[in-house]
Amino acid sequence: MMSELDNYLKQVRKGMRFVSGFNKTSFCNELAAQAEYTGTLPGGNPRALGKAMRQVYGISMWFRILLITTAFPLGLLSTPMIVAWFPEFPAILFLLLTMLWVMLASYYGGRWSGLMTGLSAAVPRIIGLLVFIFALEFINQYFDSYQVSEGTLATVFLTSLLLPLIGFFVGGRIRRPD
Amino acid sequence: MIVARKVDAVSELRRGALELALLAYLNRKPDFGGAMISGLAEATAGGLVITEGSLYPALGRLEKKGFLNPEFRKEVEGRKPRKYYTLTEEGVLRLKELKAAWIPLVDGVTLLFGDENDE
Repeated sequence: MMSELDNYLKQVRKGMRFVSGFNKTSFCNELAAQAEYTGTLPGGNPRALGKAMRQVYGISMWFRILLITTAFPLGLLSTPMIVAWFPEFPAILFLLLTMLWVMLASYYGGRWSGLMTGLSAAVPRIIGLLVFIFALEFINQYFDSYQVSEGTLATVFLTSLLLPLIGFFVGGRIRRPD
Repeated sequence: MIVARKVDAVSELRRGALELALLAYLNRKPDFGGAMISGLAEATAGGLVITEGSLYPALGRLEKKGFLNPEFRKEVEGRKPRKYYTLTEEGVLRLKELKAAWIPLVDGVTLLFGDENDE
């Protein structure tokens, strides 16, 4: 029974990935007390139960901060303007990575975490865009008449706008177990 | 496929009623999760049989909304402390509010079933 319960709780903990340690331990203690009372293992899918509890408690503040702060450099590296300095730089690859990161934030942290992570990724892109719009002359003093078409600027603007929107709308609800 | 949808519809119905059922149950006496599953089934004469998968997320949501006050109590030495849930004042108000909406709703829907039962 003990090892079965340990395995069950291990699965619950896995389902509660990124929830604060305090909430994880508190909930597992509650389940353990229940198992002790009933003499049987709690029913249902433990991982699904853990995921449902993650939806209730939300992810930990530290993980939320990590998601948001990591999005900023990812967004910066996804800015096509960086190609002006490093022509071979794979900005598009970083854009895809940024989108995946925002989706990850949305999946684990819900739509508000997704929105904040998306905004954090969009900010350096918008700054890059503004720099290129308003400081192109200055930049061209150092580089060979670098030019950006209006189409590129519009694409950068729209993809930047897309990031917080993806974060907000992709954050689908995790189905609660029956 | 149709069977799966039927199960989902029943689950949705139960989920909707669960919050009210839990508040009503805990208004009678404070209790802990493990005992609530059997307690609810008994109190509703088998009408509301739930699993941990429904119970704990529902308790968590009610607790987060401030309707429940949880408290760990160590009742038996050498055993794990149990988490007892008590209704807060907000919880009592919420119960009154839901009960007021529930009774006419159930009565009304039951009236609709009347003709079917006669057949």
